[in-house]
Amino acid sequence: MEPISYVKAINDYYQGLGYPPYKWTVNSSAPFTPLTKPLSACRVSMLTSGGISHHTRAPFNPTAKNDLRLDDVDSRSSPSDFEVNDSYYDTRDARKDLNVVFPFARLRELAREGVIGSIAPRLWSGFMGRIYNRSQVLEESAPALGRELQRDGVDLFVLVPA
Amino acid sequence: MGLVARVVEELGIPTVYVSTGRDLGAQVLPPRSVFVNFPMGNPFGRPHDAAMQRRILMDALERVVQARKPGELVDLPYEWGERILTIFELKSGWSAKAPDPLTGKQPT
Repeated sequence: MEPISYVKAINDYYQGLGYPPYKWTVNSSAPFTPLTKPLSACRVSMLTSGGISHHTRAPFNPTAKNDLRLDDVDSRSSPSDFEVNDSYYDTRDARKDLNVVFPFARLRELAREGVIGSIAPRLWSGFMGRIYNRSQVLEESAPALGRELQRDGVDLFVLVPA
Repeated sequence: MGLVARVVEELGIPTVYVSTGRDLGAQVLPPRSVFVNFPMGNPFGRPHDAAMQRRILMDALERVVQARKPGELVDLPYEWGERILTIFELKSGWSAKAPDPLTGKQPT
C-alpha cells in the first residue's frame, strides 16, 4: 500500500471542522552530527510522543493541545508499569505491548548483548499534545532536553513520534 | 518531534527519527529518518512480535551509522499486510475519547 498522505488527511479533517489551515513547518535543509563511535560503544536514549506515563505519575491528557510536558523514564522500569493515554493514534496495541511504540525492552536486550554500548539511565516521554507553539519547542523545551541528554552522556538519540 | 530531532542534533548528538507518517516527517526534515509503512502507533510492528520490533530498531540504529548527509529518509521494506487507516477513519471499534474527569485516564 502507498504511504498515506497524512498532510492532506489532517488538512481535510480540521478544515472540515472549520479550523483555519494548519501552518506546517517545511524545512529544506537539516543539521547533521556524524556518529563518531561504533554502535557497540554508544549510549542510546529514546523519546516517545505516545502519551506514555509511569503509573506513579499523572496520566497524559489524551486530547491536550500545546502540551509540552516531558517525563523522564527510568530505563530499568518494567513495560507493565506504564499507561497509555493518547487520542492521536489507536492505542490498543500499545496497551498490549508498549514495545510497538516505545521498544525499551528491545533496547535493553541490545545493551545486554553488547550490540549497543549501553541504554541511558533516562528515556523520555512527552511532546505529546498537538503543539502549535513551535518557538517554545525550538528555544526552550528541545534545548533543555538536549542538555539532559548531554548530562547522561547520550551518543545516539532515537525519536519515535506517535 | 522532527523539530526536537533537529535541535538535539545541533547540540551535537546524532539522532534518528522513526516515522509512520512519511509526508509529515519529510516536510520537517529531521537529520535522519526511517519510514515504516505501518499504522501510527505501530512504528515497531505488532504486539509481542519481538523479532520485528528488534529488526526495525536495529534498522534505525544502523541508519545513524550509515548516514553520510543531512535530511535523508530511508524507506524500510516491511509490509503491514492490512489496509492502514488514519485516526479519522477509526470511527468504529476505537475512537478518541476524552479523559475521565476524576481519574484523568482515557476510557478503554
